Amino acid sequence: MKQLFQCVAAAVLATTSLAQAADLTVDVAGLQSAKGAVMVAVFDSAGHFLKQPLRTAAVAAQPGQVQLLINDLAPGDYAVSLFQDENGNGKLDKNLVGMPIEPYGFSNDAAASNGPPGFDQARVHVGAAGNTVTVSLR
Amino acid sequence: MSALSLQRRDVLRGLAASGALLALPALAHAGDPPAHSRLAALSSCLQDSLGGTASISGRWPAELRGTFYRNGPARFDRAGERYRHWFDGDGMVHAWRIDAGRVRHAATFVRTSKYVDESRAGQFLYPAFGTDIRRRPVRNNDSGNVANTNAVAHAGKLYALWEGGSATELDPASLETRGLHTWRDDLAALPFSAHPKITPDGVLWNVGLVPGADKLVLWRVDANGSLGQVGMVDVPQLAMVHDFVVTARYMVFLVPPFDLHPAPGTAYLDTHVWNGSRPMRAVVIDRTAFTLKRIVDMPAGMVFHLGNGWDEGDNVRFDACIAPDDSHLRALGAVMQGVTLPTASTDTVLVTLDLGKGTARSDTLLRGTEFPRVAAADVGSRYRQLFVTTTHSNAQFGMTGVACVDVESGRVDRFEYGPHWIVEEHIPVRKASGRGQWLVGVAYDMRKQQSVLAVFDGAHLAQGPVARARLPYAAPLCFHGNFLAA
Repeated sequence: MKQLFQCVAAAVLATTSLAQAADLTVDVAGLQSAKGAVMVAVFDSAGHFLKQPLRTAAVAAQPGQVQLLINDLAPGDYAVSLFQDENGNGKLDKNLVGMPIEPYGFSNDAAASNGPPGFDQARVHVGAAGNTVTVSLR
Repeated sequence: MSALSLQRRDVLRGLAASGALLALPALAHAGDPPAHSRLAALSSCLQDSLGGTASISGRWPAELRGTFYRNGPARFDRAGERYRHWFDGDGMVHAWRIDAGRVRHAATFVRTSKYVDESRAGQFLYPAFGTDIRRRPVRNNDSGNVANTNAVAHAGKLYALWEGGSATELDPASLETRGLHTWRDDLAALPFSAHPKITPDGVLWNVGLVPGADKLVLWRVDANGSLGQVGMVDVPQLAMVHDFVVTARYMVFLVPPFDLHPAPGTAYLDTHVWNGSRPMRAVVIDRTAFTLKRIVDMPAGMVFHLGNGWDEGDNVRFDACIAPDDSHLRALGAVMQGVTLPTASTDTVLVTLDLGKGTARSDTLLRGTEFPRVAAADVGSRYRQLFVTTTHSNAQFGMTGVACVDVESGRVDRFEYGPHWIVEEHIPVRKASGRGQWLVGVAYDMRKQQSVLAVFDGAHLAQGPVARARLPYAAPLCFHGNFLAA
């Protein structure tokens, strides 16, 4: 009986938090192959950008486009980085001098020049109603 | 100068540029007269492929059989947008196939990811050497790889090479693009430059430049095509190393004095600012260990191409085509807008480095030269015959003659095609007897708007070609190529 109450309480709490949280839909375009998975990381501040993701998600790759849903985000500003882990080793492969050699991308398709873009360039706003962003793999 | 006259000059320049843009016709239409005779050779090839049979005049040497592979930029415009530098164009690889006295020509664009994406989109998408276009995000160096600088056969494979990224492998027979060649997973997209040297033991030596990181990447690919060694050497203020020489013990690079000023919205070329108050530096690398041996200062100078070199004791000697400044590099941008700028003379110089004392001496062998080449058997060792293209003018686009310079005696044997020709790189091909060279090269006949492959006796250039193979059309101008004997 006590357990049942706990479950109900948890469900109510979850419902409550859902009502105050938003979903970020990430459409990933430009996949050339079905190799591996698309790995997404969501960051909530410049200080954490590309260091400590708030959330991560993954979906199997397929040629063309894939979609990921990051739910239950508190309304606010975020930045998204993603890559296609073609060889399934869990990381974005780079060459001897540090250039990425697997497909990757950032929200806003923020440009990289001699290094990745900053949080501000990749910043997207997620309102109470959520948001959908499209990121092109490069 | 008043502000008004400055403005007026800018307007005139703008008008000239836009007028030239409209006037430049597409290439490979023999009937169209060129609006700008020499610069008409810089119009875009709008066909994916070209092909035809040449008509022969003179007596083609029966022993000279094989394929002369060439590569050069051939697509300069899309959707009314024209590149701002000759080096920007998408690479087209050519094969002049010579057999039983017949000469056939075929050329096709290298299907780089850039060319494929941009053909599909109908517009330029990615940054080029001299034109900053960013309609699509860039993954790495190979996003802008135009594979337009050289065609090199090695260990049974054919590569289209560019300066800033991977080698692109082609089918040697069909010229179809097989894709980027990666010697090892962690070497993907690492620059594999366009002027590898193949020593007589079959080993291929190459370099790559990592812009902004001040690193020279050094490559050795063994005679069987497998990766021999990769190394990296730090060189401060590294910029625009296009070519090098290999000797028995060293690789030698000349680093011109550019200051780098990278900025958003700036084309790669325009991040290079000439600083004539700094020296040109000869960077000498131990070719076995891939370590820095010594850097020797030379007078400020710009160099694209070196021919060959050798070492003896503390000395390293090599030839290079050196100009006192970068005016030639800039002029090859202006020509794209129909403007011909005067340039400083580029001269063949024999350089002697004393690695013990750290000194350099330069002796001018011939003025007004480019595209130095030596016999394959001479690469890395002492040589006498150096073949170059020549010009008498510092105020026109393209070369007009060929010469053989005896590096020891200074004697020059030369042939002048004439003012109505644009003479491309000519390369020596060993005679079957083993004694002497044929000299083979393409030139563009402006009056007939046709490309002509000529063969000379390398010991008697002044006598003119022994035979010519004339196409019924103009093939786009190329930068570099190599002969693969049948």
